[in-house]
Amino acid sequence: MDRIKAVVTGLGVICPLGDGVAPVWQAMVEGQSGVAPLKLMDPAPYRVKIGGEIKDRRRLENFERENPGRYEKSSAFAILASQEALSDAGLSSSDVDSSRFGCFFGTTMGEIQLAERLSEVHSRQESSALDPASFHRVQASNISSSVLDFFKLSGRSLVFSNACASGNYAIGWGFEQIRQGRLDVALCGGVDPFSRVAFTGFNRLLSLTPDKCRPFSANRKGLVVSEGVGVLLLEEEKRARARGAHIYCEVGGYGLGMDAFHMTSPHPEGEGALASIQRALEHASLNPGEVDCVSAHGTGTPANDKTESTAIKKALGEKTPVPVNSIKSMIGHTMGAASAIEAVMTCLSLEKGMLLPTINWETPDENCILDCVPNQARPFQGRVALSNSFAFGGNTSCLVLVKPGTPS
Amino acid sequence: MASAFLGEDGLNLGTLPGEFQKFFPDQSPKYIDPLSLLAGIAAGRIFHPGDNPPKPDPEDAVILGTAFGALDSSMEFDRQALLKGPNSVNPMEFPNTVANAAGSRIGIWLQLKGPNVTLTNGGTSFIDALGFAWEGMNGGLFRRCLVGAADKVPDFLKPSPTEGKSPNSIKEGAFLLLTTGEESEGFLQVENYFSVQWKPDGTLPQGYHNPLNDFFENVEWLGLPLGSPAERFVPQRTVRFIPESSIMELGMGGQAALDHFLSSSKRTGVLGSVAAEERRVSLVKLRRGKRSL
Repeated sequence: MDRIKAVVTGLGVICPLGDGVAPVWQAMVEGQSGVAPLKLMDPAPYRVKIGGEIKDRRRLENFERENPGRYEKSSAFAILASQEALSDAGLSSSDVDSSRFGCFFGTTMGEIQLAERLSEVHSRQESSALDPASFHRVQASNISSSVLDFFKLSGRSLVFSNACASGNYAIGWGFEQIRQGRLDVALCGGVDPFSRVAFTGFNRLLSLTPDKCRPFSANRKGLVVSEGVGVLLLEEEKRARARGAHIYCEVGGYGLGMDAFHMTSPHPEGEGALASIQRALEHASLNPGEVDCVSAHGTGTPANDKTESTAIKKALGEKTPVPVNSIKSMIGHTMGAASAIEAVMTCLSLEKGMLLPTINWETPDENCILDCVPNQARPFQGRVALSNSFAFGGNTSCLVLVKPGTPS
Repeated sequence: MASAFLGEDGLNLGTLPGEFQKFFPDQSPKYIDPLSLLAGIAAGRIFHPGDNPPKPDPEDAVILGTAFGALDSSMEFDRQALLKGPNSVNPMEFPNTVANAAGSRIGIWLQLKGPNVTLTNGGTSFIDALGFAWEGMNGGLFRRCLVGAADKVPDFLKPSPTEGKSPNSIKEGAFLLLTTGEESEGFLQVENYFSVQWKPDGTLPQGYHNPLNDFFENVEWLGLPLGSPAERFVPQRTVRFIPESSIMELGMGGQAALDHFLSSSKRTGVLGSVAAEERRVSLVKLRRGKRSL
């Protein structure tokens, strides 16, 4: 029996470099930075004052005007990126059989901006100002159910909260549902709006860079807290081909791992990262030598980039190093959205034959990977890409994306 | 194999550190949030139940459902930052603000290196975690897992008595099962999983009726909150509902029904839970192993 395949037929993204796949791709090819001094929150009390805020908020503001008070921020981002992905795939709600459809989102902080508003009410001891609806709306599950609600869709919905790797968990699960023959179409993504809690916490952990995010550079100083959303429309391959859909790439497999080491520090030998890469390759029935590029977790912290490099070298070998890039250098760390946005951009890299750069790279680090596509995008002819994403708690993940037509 | 640590009428949080250290004497409970302590105690009880306990296997997965996740800790972290200033909050408490803290810590404390997954799916979180475990084992992602749910609701958000729901009626705590995909006596088998968001008019979307009828084939018992909107989807021939409870189980929805099933003599049952605000019903079909639990 033929193996059931899941392919990507629609993409959606909003991040500090723009609203929409096309402008964000173009900005990344040009090596632009979406990181800037914070404007939407007051950074005055903080050591670090930069972040990755979404600047093009026109579509968001229109949406909120048209749907006043109906959707919280994470849900609104998820709906808007889903709208782009569905449109890109040429699908409308009526094209989808609800009994074969799923909606899976990942998020680190959930509806955090509502939670933060509630904290403000609590800190002022104004419990009478509490809207009872908040009890339900503040739950992270609100995100995927809001997406279904907005598009008048039904089906399975599930929200994953595995911190910064959440998006990959959602994409992996959507792939798994199609691979096991349960679903035909899955809307998968990751989302996190800017969070005061995350910004405060990373400030206190001294994990933030005060100026630029420099993944894999010896003088890297830390990460940048950002916001964003990425969505991929996954579809059973035969169904997609039958309707003549444009296929960006195939999801080859995925792997989940666990450091079991520390809540905030990665395993020094990259054990969990290595396990997730190896499991993903095994899941996709691929050999390490078949991998052509890696979209790194690449946060720009001294610890992550070193251990991720160790894991990649162990998994893929050092003799013929593959290019490994980090788009976090351009947009910062969008938390639960990071892996979904990285998956979107990796799909486009495979399709367009272009590797996105790791900007701000200045100094080689002997402990890090050698080719991080420093500072400039470049053409490439690869067919198999890995997309890594790791998280607080030691939860690790790796997604395999394959160019259509690659022999199994 | 089951373990429960529940606090239906308000948790006595003060007892958690001591209870936790019975199972993890080398770990300091300082700076660890109540949700993680609860989940840790439940996990500890599974592997230390008395004679002949199961042993943690490094390949075990951890699948944890939770409705509120880390909101209790993240809102308190934020409140402290607002009251004292952002440079005064304790960075040791920041890891408590992510929903996967509890599941991850179980993995760290027990050295479980299989997939570690946290699902935040409202009132159906526990059933969806069971469904995820079953489908994950079917897909070959793992062979055995700790699966269950944990919840700690921010006190500030609990419905007040004037809204008709006692604040003490919310079930908080942790509940875990050790499950395997292999046929084994005494274990509960998950045979199927079904989850759907019903339409705003209260009906099921087209295409769901036949799968749902198939799902209920040969089912002797059903546990679903009576009076829930999902009740109308259940075929007439099924035999029993759990009487509606005044307890809101939230992320642990279905846990009381599972206890009821385990104490019954029925061999097959469907366990269900509802996230009414999100119009979602999730069901798992269970079969009891040959030997009585």
